[in-house]
Amino acid sequence: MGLSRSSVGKACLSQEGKQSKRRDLPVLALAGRPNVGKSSIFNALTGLRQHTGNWPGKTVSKAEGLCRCEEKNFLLVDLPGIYSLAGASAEEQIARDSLLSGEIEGIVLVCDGGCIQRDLPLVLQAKSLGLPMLLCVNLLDQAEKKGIHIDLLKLEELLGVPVIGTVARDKDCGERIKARLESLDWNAPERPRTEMKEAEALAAESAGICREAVLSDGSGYGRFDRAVDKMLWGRLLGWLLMAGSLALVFYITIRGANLPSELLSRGLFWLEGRLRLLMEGLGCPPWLLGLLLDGAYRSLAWVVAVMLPPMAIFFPLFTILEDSGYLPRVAFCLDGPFCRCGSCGRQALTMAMGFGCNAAGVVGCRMISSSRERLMAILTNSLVPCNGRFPGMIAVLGIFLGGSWGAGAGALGLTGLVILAVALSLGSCWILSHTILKGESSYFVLELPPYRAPRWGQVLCRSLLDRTLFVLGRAAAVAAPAGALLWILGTVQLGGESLLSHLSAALDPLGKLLGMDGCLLLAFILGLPANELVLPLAVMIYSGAGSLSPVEDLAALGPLLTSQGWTWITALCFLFFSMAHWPCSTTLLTIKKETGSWKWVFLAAVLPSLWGAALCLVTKTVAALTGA
Amino acid sequence: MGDDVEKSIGLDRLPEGRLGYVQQINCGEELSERLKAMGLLRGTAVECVAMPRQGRPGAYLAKGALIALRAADCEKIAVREELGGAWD
Repeated sequence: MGLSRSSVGKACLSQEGKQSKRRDLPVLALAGRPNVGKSSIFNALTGLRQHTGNWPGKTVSKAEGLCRCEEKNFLLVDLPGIYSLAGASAEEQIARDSLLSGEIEGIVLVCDGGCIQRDLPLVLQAKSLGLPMLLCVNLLDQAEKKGIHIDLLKLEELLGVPVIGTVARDKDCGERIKARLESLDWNAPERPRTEMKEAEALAAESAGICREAVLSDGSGYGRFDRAVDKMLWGRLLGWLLMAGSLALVFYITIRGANLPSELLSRGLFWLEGRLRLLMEGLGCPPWLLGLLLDGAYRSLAWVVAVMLPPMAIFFPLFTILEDSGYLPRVAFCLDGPFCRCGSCGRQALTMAMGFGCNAAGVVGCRMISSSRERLMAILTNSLVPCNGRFPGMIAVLGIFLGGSWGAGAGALGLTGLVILAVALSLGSCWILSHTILKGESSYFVLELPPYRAPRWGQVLCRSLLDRTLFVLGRAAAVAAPAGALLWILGTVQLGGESLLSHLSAALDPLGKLLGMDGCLLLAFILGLPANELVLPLAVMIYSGAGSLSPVEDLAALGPLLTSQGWTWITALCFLFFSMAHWPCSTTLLTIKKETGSWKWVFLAAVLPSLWGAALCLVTKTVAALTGA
Repeated sequence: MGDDVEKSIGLDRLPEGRLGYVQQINCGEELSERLKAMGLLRGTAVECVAMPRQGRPGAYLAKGALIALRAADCEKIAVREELGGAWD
């Protein structure tokens, strides 16, 4: 039987033959919210090919069909889709009138397993009618995809109504419902009709039932999330987990980046040799060779070899933390301290972005709605060491802390530095909110998404393409021309010394004051375009070479630094100053773009530099006093 | 349904694991709009998952979404606590 005027709608109710037949059969009403697959179930039960559509209100008027079971037959009436039995719309009135007319002897109620909490109020209303009832939790396959697991037995127990789970497209779905219908006790004494509760009470009762019977790791807030959150929000454990996950991310990054870094540098310098042969073959003058190969290419190779492996590991790890729902919890836990310093927990998120790239962190500050707090987050973002600074810090930590490249010691040292960076950010916020950015902390509202297993494909795609390649591309674009410029500075002689030597000699007193030396300070200044160049630059200036040394010498860095008079105090000052000095040029330009004022750019450069200088001074003074 | 006695309290005082119904939101316009967009408005049932404590915000479950709010903001949201705990 096809879809026709006589097979659906009121027309079929008025047909004489069916009217008489109908008197002998118990009448079942099929009810449910629009778009829950009610029509598919109607078709499965009656064999009627009622057209099912994917929009609300498909069944405008009542349709009915014969539902043949093994021993018992029913007349099934398809009611219009309704949201509530208390509603005032035409469909809801038809449905309510039908159910209350006394002609109906039972209800088959269909609900959507994917958003069952939304449908349960209707179930409870229908239950209060006192009629025999079967609840079909439909679209279970889609619910599973959403990560929602419904404990059907528990639901049955809590509701006091028989429940069957269905996937309307399954072939045996109709047979299963029929079998269940027959097994119901149709001769039981009618339950009394109870008063329908208020919408609020129904919603609350539904929520309570869902809490017990629905386990959701997708879009809801299930038992697992509850348990994890409870643990995370314990004071001590929460902090430990935060520091622990940070240390773990660093450990994996440091440990994993060593080998690929080495391979990359070997490959890139093998390529340099080939390029040199090629260019010499083409008859290039030596100055062009120097400018392009020793200058531009070598800087680029340093940046790629030193930066790419840690980034390719760090960014995916970070994205996993983000994707799993943990990062918003970090912001949640850190809101307290930030609030006390006049800022808000969202700043924790922008700081976390800063680990990847400070420019990205500054842009991320847009998520902070209060302009005062946003400005604070922008000004303090570069206190968090970014990926461009990690490699240099890791190298120095490895040399002076681990003896060899002890990844564990390095990770712990780095975690300590990062915690210090967070403390400096908090201190800066406190100072700012008591001086030039006076004001009370505004509001804080943040949705904590449910935990979920990371979507690996998306994580890799997003972190490698969007972040790693983007940041690397930008760094490379800056590194190559900067390398060329450095080559000029290192090669052009003035009074027997290169320009670089002159500059470093001029900076030496200030550098010494800060526990470092002129070469190192010059490296920090020249590293403005890209922070990852600072350590290679220092090596280049130390060695008096006109160009960066090949990266292969990374392992030989320790002896070179100690031969230049580095002690652990120099190392500590280098680490502190790496962490807290002016942001790179990209970040500064981004700040200009975001704040629209050079005044804030200036402050964003001065603020961390002052912290860095202060830390270095204190370190040097303490060391001098203790005679170390 | 247990006891029918109900009282109005600030959301910050709703105990953990308890349900309340939002009666009034007296936050600033900006925050009120934000809360509305997140599904938190008059009449919404809210479950307290974690009370605000020692400066840490509170966490509230409303319409399936977990929302973090500071104590100072919660104070301005009046809720009617559902007493009796029928569904616990």
